[in-house]
Amino acid sequence: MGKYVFKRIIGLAALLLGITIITFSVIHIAPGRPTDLEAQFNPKVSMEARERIAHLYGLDKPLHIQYIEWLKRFARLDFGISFMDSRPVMQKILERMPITLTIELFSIILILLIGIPIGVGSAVKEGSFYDRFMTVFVFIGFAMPTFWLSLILMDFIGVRWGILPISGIKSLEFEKFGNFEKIIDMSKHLILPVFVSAFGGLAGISRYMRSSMLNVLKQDYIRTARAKGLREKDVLYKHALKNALLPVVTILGLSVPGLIGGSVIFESIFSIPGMGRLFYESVMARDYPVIMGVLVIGAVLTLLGNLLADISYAAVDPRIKLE
Amino acid sequence: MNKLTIFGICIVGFFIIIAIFAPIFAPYNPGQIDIENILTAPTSSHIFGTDSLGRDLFSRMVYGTRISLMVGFIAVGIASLIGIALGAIAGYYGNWVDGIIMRFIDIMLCFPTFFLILAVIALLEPSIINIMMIIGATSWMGMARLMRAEILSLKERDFIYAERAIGASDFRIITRHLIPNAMAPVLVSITLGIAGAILVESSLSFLGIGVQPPTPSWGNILSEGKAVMGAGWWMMLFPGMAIFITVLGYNLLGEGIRERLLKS
Amino acid sequence: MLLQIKNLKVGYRNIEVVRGVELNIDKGECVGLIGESGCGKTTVGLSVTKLIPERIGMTSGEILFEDKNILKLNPEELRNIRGKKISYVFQEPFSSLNPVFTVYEQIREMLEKKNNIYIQIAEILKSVGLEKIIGRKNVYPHELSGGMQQRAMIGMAIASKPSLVILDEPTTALDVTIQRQILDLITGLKNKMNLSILFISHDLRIVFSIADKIGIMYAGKIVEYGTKEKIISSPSHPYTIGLIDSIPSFEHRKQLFNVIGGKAPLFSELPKGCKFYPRCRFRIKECLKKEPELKDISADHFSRCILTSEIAARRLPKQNRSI
Repeated sequence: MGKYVFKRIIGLAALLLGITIITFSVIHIAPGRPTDLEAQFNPKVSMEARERIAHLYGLDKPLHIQYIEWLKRFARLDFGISFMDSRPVMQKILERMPITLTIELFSIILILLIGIPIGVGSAVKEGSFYDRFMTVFVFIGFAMPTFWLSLILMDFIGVRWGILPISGIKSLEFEKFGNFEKIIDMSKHLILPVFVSAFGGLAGISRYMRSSMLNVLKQDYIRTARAKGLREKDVLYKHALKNALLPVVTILGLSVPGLIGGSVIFESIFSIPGMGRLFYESVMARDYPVIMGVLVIGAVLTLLGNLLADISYAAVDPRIKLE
Repeated sequence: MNKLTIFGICIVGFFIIIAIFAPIFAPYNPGQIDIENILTAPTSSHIFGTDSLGRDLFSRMVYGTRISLMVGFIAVGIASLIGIALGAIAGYYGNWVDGIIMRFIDIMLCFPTFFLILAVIALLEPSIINIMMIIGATSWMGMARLMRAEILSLKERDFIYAERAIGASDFRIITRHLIPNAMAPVLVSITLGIAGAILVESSLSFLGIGVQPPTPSWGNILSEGKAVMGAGWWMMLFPGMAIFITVLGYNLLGEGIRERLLKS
Repeated sequence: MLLQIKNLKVGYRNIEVVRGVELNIDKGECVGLIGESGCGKTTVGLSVTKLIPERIGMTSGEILFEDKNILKLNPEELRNIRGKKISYVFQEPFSSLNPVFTVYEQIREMLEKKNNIYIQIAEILKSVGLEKIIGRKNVYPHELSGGMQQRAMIGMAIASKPSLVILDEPTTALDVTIQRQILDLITGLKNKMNLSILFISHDLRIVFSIADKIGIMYAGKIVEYGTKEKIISSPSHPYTIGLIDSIPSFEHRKQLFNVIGGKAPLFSELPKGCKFYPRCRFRIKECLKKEPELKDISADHFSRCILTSEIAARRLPKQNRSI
């Protein structure tokens, strides 16, 4: 197990290097220097700022030297200083990260709690009314644009019925609340964003769970379990379910980039001060240091998600340990 | 054929016809401003109502169909060119060529795609051509993997050995024999990819970094709808429905093709 | 009589693959069921405890076990027979054992008395020659060799001291040297525990080495049935003769195998009359009229052939059997 994790980490380090190369290349795709672009799109940027970027990227040096210098700064998590407010990029990202991760975590939990039972139920009752109903639901989930869903929920639940707040993560009078009220207030603000963030993934996981379970139910060891005279409950929810759940762990790891990418949409709609909104604001203001920083951090979070999934997989699948 | 698949084909066909014959279907010029009729609810003369500049929403939606489908098709066209070529090369040549291409795919898959697209748009500018190219350049990885897997199993077949024996070039073997035989599963991916590309384009346009007004697209009409929330439900309902139904159509069609392939 | 199968018919969709099978198994008796793959022998085995899901296969006839018709039992009553009175050993030990549960756990599930579990398991492991893993509670199936996996399957099958064990090609997936050991193990357990056995196989030699009585199946029906001695000394159905003649014997290994020509017919397009007609060496026009009934030849010996007596006379002595 230790050896397996070690090997995975080495593999991820190689991927990380690749991520830095692509991120570095992206900023050099643009015609002309980033400094020119910056001035062209945003006349407010002073000569001083332009020199600062030129210095930051070492734009007068050959490309590979620039890359190595950038990599050195990256190793120290130094992504430079934001154009917009001259604060260190890393500091801005760290401020925004917890709220995004909290929402993602809750939506992953929601996806698992709802998606797995839906998928398992559909597989066990394959072809039933329930199964067909859920198939339709899944297609709707896949096709529903999250931003439209967000708008509909905002309009009805927030504006028309006034059940839940629709903007930010705390009310104006937040500071006056007691601790318990503060938690309630924040939870209320998070319900819609978490729901929207989970919605698309829900369809995916339940569909995946259904086909995984159907596949397992065809296996010889399920016939063995029945031949052993086990209760149908144990056949399905002990022998089949544990096998069917294994690949879901990997799928969860793979869905991390989608969830993080999706944060741009719902965070800007619900005005949530997370990484997605920071990224959106930086794109609108063409604040390159922040864009690059968030891009790399987003990829690193994905890597960590994959690593976590791999380790969990090794922990739950007894066959991995020997390899 | 499955009922759902037929439903999918109808949806896809319906919107393609609308896109091709947009000038015939649209009763008004989509850019025609009418200050007298701002934000009117659907009536017999404006069946989808008007927007905050008094433009006919139905006509804007019809022209928006053109933009959304065009972006979807061309973006997926670019993605499949890249995906098929890289997948075929990786599968056919194997060894270090395969290693490099597969690692490149792994790295690309680490980036939250939406972040990558936004970052590139920030550097270039949000023109329709750029958007199509960016979506294409960031969504080819799945197709490449499928293509590679198919080629890996095909290249050991007898007819490929026979081709090699009579001295056919690698290029000829790949383009004439391997890729056509490996296209079936990629086709599913292409169909689903169109749905994905339409979703991404409308998300970008909704966020104001996609298709720029006054050119109408479903996403940017919806964005205007958000601005008038509570005062014009039709501004939110129709573009949202259009995106939803179109994406549903391509997904159903893709599932239908997948099922057919599984059966044969 | 412990088990009586009467006029068993099983259809998948509209195609009948078991077309009226009769088979009796006495206490302590081992009955071998032989046939080519796809002749319906596995389906017979699975039907004995109704292991074919109702939505896949339509079953009719009677299966009397201890005078109760198994086909009429409700799921709860079935569970009390499966694994407890009738148990199974399947062909592929690797896929028949659940990969994510330990061998200990999979044997434990079979035990009715929950006291002294580990002593019970240790005794079972010892009786199937798995002394090596006694006390190793964390051993998973993939850590065992194929032969050991099959021993574990057998251990599971005998754990609750059943009266009937159905072995479906238990040695086919194993190396030849291991096959012998497993057969010896089965014979030993049979004698020690006074087990009744239904031994399903395509391999005549293996069945000869273990069975007391033998049924030969062709196209969903038993075409010849008798004691092992009778089948070996005076096979009476052309199919049986073909099977026996195609055994490569050591003394005659320079001879060509006297194989049966042609292929088994598809169940969807069975020929009229005798189903073996197209491949039969002895066929006459009469055979096409109707499918022959199972006829008595002598005590405990039946054959489904209208020419039985003539064939017995015409069959060449073994030493002259080269073509």
